[in-house]
Amino acid sequence: MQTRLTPRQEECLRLTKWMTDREIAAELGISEPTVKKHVAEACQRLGVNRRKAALAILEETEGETALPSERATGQEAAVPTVEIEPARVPGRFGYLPPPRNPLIRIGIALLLMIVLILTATLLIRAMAESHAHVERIDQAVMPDRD
Amino acid sequence: MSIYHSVFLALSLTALALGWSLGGHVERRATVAYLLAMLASLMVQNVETDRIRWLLILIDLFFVVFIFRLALTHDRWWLLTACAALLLVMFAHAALLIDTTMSARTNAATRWIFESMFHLCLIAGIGERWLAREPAVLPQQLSRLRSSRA
Repeated sequence: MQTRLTPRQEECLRLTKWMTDREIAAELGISEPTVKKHVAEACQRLGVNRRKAALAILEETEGETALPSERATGQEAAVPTVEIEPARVPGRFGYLPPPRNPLIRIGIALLLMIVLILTATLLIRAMAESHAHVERIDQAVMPDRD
Repeated sequence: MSIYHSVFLALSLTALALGWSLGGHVERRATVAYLLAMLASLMVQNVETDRIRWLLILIDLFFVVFIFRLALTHDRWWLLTACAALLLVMFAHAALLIDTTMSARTNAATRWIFESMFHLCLIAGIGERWLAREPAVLPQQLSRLRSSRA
């Protein structure tokens, strides 16, 4: 088994702590399958099955000269195997994606529906008033039009 | 063709072109789904039973479900707004079913307003893709094509 990670594998693995595979792909300018491949190879080299376990090993060995694979077997059992939701990374101008909870998303969509109804109502009312206004002007200027 | 019809058509084509050329994977899926829904709607628009266009309602329903699924599985604000607009389109269909005195013209106008909102959402999605630092798909595909030919 190979022991040392390539810089790209290490970079991808470190970024999994904060980003999803897609976000990493966008950040590094590579495809999502390539990110998955790098992370999978990093896990393989560290002798673990889960990326969280590999990340824990990588963080633990940070600053040490010992190779991570030497402790991989012992570490694997201690690291929880539950997938943790990656943290959100702000985009340009502090952009943040919508919350991941589906119920909150449905709530937001319903709220937006009310906003759209109000917008459409105001728009239609304004157009109707504008038409009526034009009609009044037409009547005043040309009373015998009809 | 009326001015409203022309504006609606221009907005649809702009949204489709921009969504395909400058959108990410999510925008592209929505664009393709919208294109299919639009073509299917054109084919069935004259099919009606008791002045109700059941097939058109069914196509719109499938489209709403698809966009709703995208909104739940992908991190985009514009999809939530698009969902809201498309749900209002469904409400417009429902209004025609409930209110028998509603004219087909009023119904079509209402649906056009909310579908136009969907177009605007799709165009806004390109901006959101940029804000989220996601690359557009088409330039990547073109550069891959160029490199494979070279």
